[in-house]
Amino acid sequence: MRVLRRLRFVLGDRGGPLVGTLILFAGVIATLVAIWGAGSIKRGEIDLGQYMVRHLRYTYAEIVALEGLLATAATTPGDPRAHAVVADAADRFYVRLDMLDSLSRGPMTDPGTVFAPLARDLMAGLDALVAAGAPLDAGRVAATRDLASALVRETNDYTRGIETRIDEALRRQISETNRAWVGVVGSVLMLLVLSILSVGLFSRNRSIVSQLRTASGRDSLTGTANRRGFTEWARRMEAQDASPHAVLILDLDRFKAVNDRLGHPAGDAMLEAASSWLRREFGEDGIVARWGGDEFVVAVPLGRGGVADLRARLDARRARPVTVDVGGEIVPIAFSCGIAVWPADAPTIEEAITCADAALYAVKESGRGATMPFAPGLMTKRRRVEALRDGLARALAEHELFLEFQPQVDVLRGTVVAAEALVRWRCGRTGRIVPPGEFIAIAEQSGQIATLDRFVLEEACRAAARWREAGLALRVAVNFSPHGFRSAVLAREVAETLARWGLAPEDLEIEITEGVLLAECEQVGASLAALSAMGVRLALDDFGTGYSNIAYLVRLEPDLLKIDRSFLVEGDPDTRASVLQGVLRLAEALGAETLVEGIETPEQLRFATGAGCSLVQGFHFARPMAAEAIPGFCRDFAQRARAARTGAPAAGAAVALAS
Amino acid sequence: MPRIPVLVAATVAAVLQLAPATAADGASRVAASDGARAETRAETPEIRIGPPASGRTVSIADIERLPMHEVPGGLSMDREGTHFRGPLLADVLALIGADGEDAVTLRGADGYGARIPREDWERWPLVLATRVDGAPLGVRARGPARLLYPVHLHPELDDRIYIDRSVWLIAEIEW
Repeated sequence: MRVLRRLRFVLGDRGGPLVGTLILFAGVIATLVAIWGAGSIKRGEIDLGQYMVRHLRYTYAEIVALEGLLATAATTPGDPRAHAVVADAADRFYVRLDMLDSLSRGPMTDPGTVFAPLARDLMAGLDALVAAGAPLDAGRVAATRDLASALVRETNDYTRGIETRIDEALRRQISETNRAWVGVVGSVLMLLVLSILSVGLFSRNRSIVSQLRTASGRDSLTGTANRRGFTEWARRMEAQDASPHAVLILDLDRFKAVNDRLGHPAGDAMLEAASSWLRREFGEDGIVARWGGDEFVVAVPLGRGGVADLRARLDARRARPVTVDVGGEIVPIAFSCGIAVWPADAPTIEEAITCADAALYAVKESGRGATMPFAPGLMTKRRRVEALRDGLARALAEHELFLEFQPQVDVLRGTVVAAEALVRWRCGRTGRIVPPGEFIAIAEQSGQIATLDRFVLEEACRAAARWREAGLALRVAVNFSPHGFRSAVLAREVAETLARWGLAPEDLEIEITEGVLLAECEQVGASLAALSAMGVRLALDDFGTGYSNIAYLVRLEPDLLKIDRSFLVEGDPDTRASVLQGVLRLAEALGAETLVEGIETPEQLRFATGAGCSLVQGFHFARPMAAEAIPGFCRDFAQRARAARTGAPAAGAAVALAS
Repeated sequence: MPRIPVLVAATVAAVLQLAPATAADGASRVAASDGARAETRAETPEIRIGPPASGRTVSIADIERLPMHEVPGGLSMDREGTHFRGPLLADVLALIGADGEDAVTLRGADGYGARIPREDWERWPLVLATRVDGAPLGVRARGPARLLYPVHLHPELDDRIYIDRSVWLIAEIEW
């Protein structure tokens, strides 16, 4: 194929007819070579020689026998039986000679041999000998015998000549066979090359046809319009100020899976079925275009039913999907769709496609298999997500991420027990602090979460190690993504990181969400068990916001339940108090400590401690701060606590409440 | 030196004993060298039968007592218009007790031999000719017996295989 490409390069696009002519020409030559090769094997020659040798074999035997007979007769010419024997031999010699005479070629007719006159003389001699009657005349016997001897020599010489010619013919045949072999092999190779060239030309022809189709605005596979065709149509519509159109962009769900599992012909069949359905459905008054891959764009005049009508039609089709039979397997065609309206959503059809694409993106985000009309918010959201996704990769690489720590305090003892590490991202280009809620979800989707988790663990351990150096016995808590627990190396990584920073496992608390427990994955359980066995503390984050399954909880054996702040604000105070107390009792039963998150006001603190919870965390005590600020905070907090205990009306109102 | 292939197809057909009809006058040519020569012949020619050296024979007179059939001379060097007569090979084989064999080998006095399979004598009326134009077949007429395939009835017999099997100078029927 590379040769072909080079050939095309050399010949340019106009090379087609020339190459075709060359191939035709070469094909004729190859055929002639093959015919020449086959023709140069001539079988007849040796065949004929063999026949002649067979004739001569019998002739030779006959004459030798005759000569021997005459030699014997010469010794006893008087024996009357000799006459009969010679007569019989003469008859047989007659038959033999008669036979040789009948051949159009042979010893009797070939020039260059005296066989024929000798043989006729011998026949005549024998006849005369026999005709003279018994007893045989000794002189005639001797003369006849001499003739027979001469004929034996002559037959021998003649036969040898024939054999030499056969040998020559054999040699010639070998060389002819060799030539034929060369010819036939040569022509076969030539034809092979030619057929490869022809296949190449054929495929090139196909690609040209497909290019022509593309140029003509048609998709080569489905026969629908392609991008170019659609764009031209859109321009015409825009130019003539056509009525409002709905622009749909459809994406076949599971197309890649079908393609991978059942092969490209199956994928093609799916595309063709989808396109013929779309053309049936919308092709009459609108346009259907294959946008690339498994995406189709449809534009139809907006009817009275508006977008809602279109959605209904698509939903009806989704309920009874078009199917395609691929190799015996019936595959239903499922699709996701985004709809935008031109010119209501966008001034041009092209931009309307972008809007529809944003809606499609939102559909895919929410799990496919639905139709969504465009809304202005979709576009900005999508753009932001894309920007964040790209930016996060850069942030991870360029150290734009950093940690802040929020202290967790024991109001009863007046100590800081731990600090929760919270990841922050200050965008290097805009200087904006990106909220974790935005970028963590994106990191999870884009597969960057593992890197993010490693970064957080490393930085948190580094901070904890520094606090330890400063004489603070402070746990550090980190949040791991649920994805992280599916990694078989998570526990080992944690152990290695702790060891690197000289921390004990108890110095680390890993906060997990209830989502982790829901993952039906053996590795998740194994990771948690390994961490727990190692001595790392496990804290259940946002307790009370998910679908807490008591069985899961029991199995997890968390060291700490972090109660969500929603318990502080929902419902009337009495209900709140009894609910919280219930949770505390549950935690007690599980053998877990409890901590209330999000304490922002003195009232909330009072409520929490009143219910019996002394571990708290929230803005009321401290906002998240840099690692370096933690030791200072701890000192201040301890001082305030001591002051409060001794009755000093210092700023430690919080601690005062606890006492 | 002329190439052997020039030995035309006629030669191909002319296997050993048999030659094409085109050379029918060969006998007269040879004979012309000594027209006065009279053929010598045994009074009662016999053909050896059975396995080699079994000592069994059958005489021409015996087989001529079987129903005789006439065959025109055709393929060989026989002169145009020559008529041969003789019993069917099948009858002869029945007579000598070889009709149960799958094949018999006919051997000529000159050492030539050919194997005749059963299907040949069952499919076609093969004639073991002992007479030509009424006279007994002498040695010079390739007697005392010769096998003739009925080419005049079955043109497909004009084939090298059957020409090769048309043994003359028959001296032995072996099985």
